[in-house]
Amino acid sequence: MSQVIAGIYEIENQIGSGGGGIVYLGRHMRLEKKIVLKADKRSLNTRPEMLRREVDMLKGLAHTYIPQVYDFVQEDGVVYTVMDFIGGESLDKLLERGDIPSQPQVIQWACQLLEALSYLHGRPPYGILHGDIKPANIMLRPNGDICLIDYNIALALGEDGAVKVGYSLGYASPEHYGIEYKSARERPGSKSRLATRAKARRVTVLVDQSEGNKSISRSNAITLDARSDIYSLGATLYHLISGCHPAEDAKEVKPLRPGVCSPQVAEIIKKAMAPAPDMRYQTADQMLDAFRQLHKRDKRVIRRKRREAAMAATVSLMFLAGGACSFVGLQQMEQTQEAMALAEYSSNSLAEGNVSEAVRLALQAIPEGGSILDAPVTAQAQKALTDALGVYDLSDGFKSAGTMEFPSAPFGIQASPKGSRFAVIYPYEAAVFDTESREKIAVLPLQESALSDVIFPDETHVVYAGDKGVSAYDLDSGKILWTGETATGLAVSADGTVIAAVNRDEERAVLYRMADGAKTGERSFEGQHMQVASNDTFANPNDSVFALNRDGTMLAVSFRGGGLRIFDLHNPEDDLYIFDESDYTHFEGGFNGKYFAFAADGNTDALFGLIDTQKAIYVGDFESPDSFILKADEEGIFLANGGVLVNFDPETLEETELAYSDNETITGFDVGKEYVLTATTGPGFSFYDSGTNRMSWESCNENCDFALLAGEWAVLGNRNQPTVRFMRLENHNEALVLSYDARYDHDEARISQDGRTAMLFNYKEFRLYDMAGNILAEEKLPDPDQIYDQQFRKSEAGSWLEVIWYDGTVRCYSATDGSMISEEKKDAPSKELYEEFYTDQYRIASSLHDAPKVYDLESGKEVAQLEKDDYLTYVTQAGEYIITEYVSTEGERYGLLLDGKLQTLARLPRLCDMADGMLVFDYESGNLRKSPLYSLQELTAMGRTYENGT
Amino acid sequence: MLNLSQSQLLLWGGIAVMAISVVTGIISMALFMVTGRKLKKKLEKEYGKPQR
Repeated sequence: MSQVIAGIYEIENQIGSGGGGIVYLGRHMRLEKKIVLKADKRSLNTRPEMLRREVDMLKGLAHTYIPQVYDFVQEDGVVYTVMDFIGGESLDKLLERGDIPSQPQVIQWACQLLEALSYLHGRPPYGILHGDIKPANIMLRPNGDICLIDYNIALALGEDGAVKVGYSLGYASPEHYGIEYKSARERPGSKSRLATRAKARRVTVLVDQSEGNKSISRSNAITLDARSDIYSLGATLYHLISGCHPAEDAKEVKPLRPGVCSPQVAEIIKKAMAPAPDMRYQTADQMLDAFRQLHKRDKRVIRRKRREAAMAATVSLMFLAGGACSFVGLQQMEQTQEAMALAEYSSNSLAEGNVSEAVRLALQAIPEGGSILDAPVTAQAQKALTDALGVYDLSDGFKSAGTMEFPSAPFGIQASPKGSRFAVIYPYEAAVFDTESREKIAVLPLQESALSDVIFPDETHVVYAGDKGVSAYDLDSGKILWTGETATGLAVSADGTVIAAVNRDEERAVLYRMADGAKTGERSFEGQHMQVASNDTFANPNDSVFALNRDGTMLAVSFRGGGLRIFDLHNPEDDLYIFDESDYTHFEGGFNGKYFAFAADGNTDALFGLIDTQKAIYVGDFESPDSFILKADEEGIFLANGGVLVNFDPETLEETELAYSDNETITGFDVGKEYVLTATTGPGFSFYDSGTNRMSWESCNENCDFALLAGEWAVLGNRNQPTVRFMRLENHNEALVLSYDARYDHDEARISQDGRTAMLFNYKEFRLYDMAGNILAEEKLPDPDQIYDQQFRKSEAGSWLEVIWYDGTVRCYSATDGSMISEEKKDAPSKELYEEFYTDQYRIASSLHDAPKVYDLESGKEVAQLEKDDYLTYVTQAGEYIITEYVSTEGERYGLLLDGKLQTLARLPRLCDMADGMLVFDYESGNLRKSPLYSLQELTAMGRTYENGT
Repeated sequence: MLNLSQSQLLLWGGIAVMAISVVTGIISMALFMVTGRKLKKKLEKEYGKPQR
């Protein structure tokens, strides 16, 4: 059979038939190309223009997975659609053979089919429905791709978009059967139903109205949309992937078992085959997207991505947290370093006597504590603040009270007779201050010479070598009382009535009456000159003697060439010539009553001499290889030589020791009514009480050239530094616990548990005091040379002194009445003096020859060693602090306040006990004094108060 | 026992945590790369190559 259609298409044979028409394989005679011609069954019933419109629309389709329609011809009342011939075989053939394609293959085809469907459904104006998707209508090309074929060209499109359709059992959606399933969302009145409907597109339906078993035709008209094609595609995929024909009723379709395909693919197919259209994919694109996202939406991938994200977040957080910790740590370490430096500066300032600066620096070393970046307070900072405030030094004595800065280093410092005023002499000026308030009272212009002198006749007047001549100044009124001739050196009689003045090396002295400045006389040095350096800007004015006696009738003057002479200002014939000339280059001296004492220093030796000016006799002298330092005035004759300072009685020629220093040489001193101040090599300075006990010693940067006692104040300075340091006498009577006989020799003092008695003891004896200072008992210990150790014990039951002898005898003496309360014979103790102390955290082992070792109680490991030079006697846990008590090789007792890490927070000089949470100190003055243990907050508050007060 | 101050602990501890986090990050990245490749192969076997 050979039939030519429209003159160019030759029909070769029939290759199929269905509800839509008969399909022929043909040939394009001109192009010699295989084609397919499909004869539409509806041609007789359908208006040609409608068919034309549909075919025109089909001719415009071009897609990889859809055959191309070329032409539309009508021949003998039959409408033919001419399209591409698609080689290969349909998928139903594959299924008939029992070849079940693999899942990846099905997924690939599904995507191709969905692309084709998406293309068809998206054609204007309403889209094109295939209407009969099934394996038989899907061609598998030789290259492995598929092609969706057999969409009909003869459609019966209703005016309202409804079409008559045929369907293939199992592949057709329920709508094809005229069944309308509704989802839960789609119930009447549901808003979502309306929304879903609104999205549904009305489409032109291309329906294959096949005959036979596979496709049947029905005449009922229903409305289809893209979701019907999606159902059919789902059913086709179901068949392909499982090899089972899907059930006709959508509700009876068996779910795909896990072994058949992946759950995710089964889920897609299940959704595509949902009976209710609203429960399916609403568009082919949605379903295509579901296939394309199979990898991404796989649970394993999602789980893995979550793990990745969690790990990334964890690692990032760890990194950031580590970085934050490092940053904070670094900031804190920098702050700690700064705090330690500040603490050291504070100590230096304190050593220089600048207490306010020491407190300021120590406070600066303690962070406010409000920020996370703030480092913990360092032990060094706390110690610096404690030291600067001196809270644990309750000893009587002179304590640093600050410093003053001057334009340049002073030439000299002078104090008024009672010490209420003092003057600091520096180039071209002298500044006079009130000692108590340290307020500047006056600034006096001086001669341009280092020899320019300032003297105080009394507390309210000052005489100075002014730039316009020797002047007297009233400190109360602030007025110059009188002015005399130009002078540099000055002297005032002890009664304050006569002033003697000399100008540099002029060979005369001028005498003034202090009251009105009247020149009362002039005394020639008879050709001799006082010792003045060629450049007197740097000369030491204290190299020469220029002194008046008590009533101003005698003037002692030393001269260049070693001369020393006492001028009788009323009777020149009674002048006393001590030395006409000598090898001495440095003279000191002054009058004490009728005596004139002098010290002379030469190149090889020094001399101290005493003259009775009334009898005009040389009482005597003594020499020394060391220089003498002499202060002779109406208060007495005080002489220092080497490390000894004595008060020399000119009547008895006896010496009374005032101060003694073992290793240092006294370079300067001042003697007050109750205290003595000595400046020593070292350099340093010391205060002594009236019992020649050294109260305190402090080091300083340079030798103190000036050391003055002015009432309760001490003033110290030197010629090289513009800073003058002040010390103030302090007592701490408010902290007194017990006052006892200071002469009683003892090693330790302890207060009983009930606080009613105090026991002072050493290896020879003990003495028991009540707190009023009455002696309750006094006992000598037997065989003191054989005493091994002494321990003062406290418990709720009472307090007692436990004395242990080498033979093992242990005797206990009551701290209530001093009686012996027990005597036992125990094993002889070891001679190593090994002791153990326990705190909350540590065990401290102390032996005679080794440094005490600290062991952690939990781990048992050694964590630190304590002071190795001194012997540890007690360890006490006081709250969060640890207090260790030591006795040094010199016999000095002291304590150290330690923090939990065994860092020193404070030194506790002369600490002897802890009672009722208070530290008790034992001072040589015969006093037990107590102090609370100050917390850091309290110290800081005290520091701020001090800072604000200054 | 290291006798470190709080600040030193923060600094060195922080640096250690940073180092550990970097090492952990590198190790986990390597592990994820290996397991990722395995999973990719498994998925390709199951679903085929990702559809475009």
